[in-house]
Amino acid sequence: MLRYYTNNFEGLDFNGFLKLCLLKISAIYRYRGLAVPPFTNLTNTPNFVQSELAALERGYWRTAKQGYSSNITSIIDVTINQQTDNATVSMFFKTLEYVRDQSINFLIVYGPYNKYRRIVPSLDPILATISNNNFLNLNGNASFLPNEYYYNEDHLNRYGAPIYSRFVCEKITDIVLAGTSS
Amino acid sequence: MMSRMQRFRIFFKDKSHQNWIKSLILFGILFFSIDSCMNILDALGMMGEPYDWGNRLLIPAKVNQARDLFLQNPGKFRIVHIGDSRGETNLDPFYVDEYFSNTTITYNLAISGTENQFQSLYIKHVIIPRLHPNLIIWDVNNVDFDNDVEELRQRTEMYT
Repeated sequence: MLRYYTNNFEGLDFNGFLKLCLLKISAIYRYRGLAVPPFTNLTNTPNFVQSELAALERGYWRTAKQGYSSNITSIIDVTINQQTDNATVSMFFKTLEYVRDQSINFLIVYGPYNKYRRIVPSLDPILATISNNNFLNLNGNASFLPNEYYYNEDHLNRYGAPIYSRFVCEKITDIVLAGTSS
Repeated sequence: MMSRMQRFRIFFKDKSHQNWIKSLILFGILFFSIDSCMNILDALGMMGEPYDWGNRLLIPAKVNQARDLFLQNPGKFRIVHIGDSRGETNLDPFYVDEYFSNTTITYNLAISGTENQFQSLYIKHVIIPRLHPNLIIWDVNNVDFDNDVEELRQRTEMYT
């Protein structure tokens, strides 16, 4: 998306280059604001956005399914040797600066993964530069070990979300109390 | 004096009127068939952007819903939650509001399938100017910062 706006075609393979070219000339993308909605609905089918929104509650996807099971009973450290994208990192920190300049409080949360603590040597030192007051690391947190809390390996379900929400609430209590009392 | 029915019959027996009515019927059939096709494509999510780019069709719907919610609850501490699909499933806004005895109003603005760069633009150009939140909770993960997501996906499949 950043490449789309900055016209940055450098370092792309052929498929990536083709995708970006198609995106740039895409009528759907360029004229999406002018898309004419259907005038009648003979089949009485809810449109895509309506059906997607109906599944959400205040934007929250309350999933019930427990789709992940494993016999592992403790957290395992997994080292991921990924190449961190410098453009993304710089944009991330610029956004945080912008948010701070607007006098808006923020909290960065590194969410949990079932059974695994993801260790990323190229990223962890970068995230460690964020102040502890604004950072909550739930990666590898033992509270999220039970399979019952997960929809799949990456996503919590309706039983896991309250645990995550409780951690977040405990972290933001001071900010909220200061904001509501003033 | 001709009855209304007689006038109706005379109107339809006229050749020029018949041609006009036939073209009207043809146009109507074409209009409704195209419109039905649009309805079906719309219901399948094929009218907008491809899902591979993230579920960005939901952006205006979610932002408008959040704006309405905040306007209906004036004076409350506004909390928004940003992220990808993990963010969408992880934070329960009702739990947060209950925890703070409804002194806050929370909305989960996470959009599934999106990445960190998109979320940066989303915060700067949509969320702050339109919703004026008091607190932004941003759910991140290592995939957001990877410059080769496909490769990471393959590597992830290796140890699961």
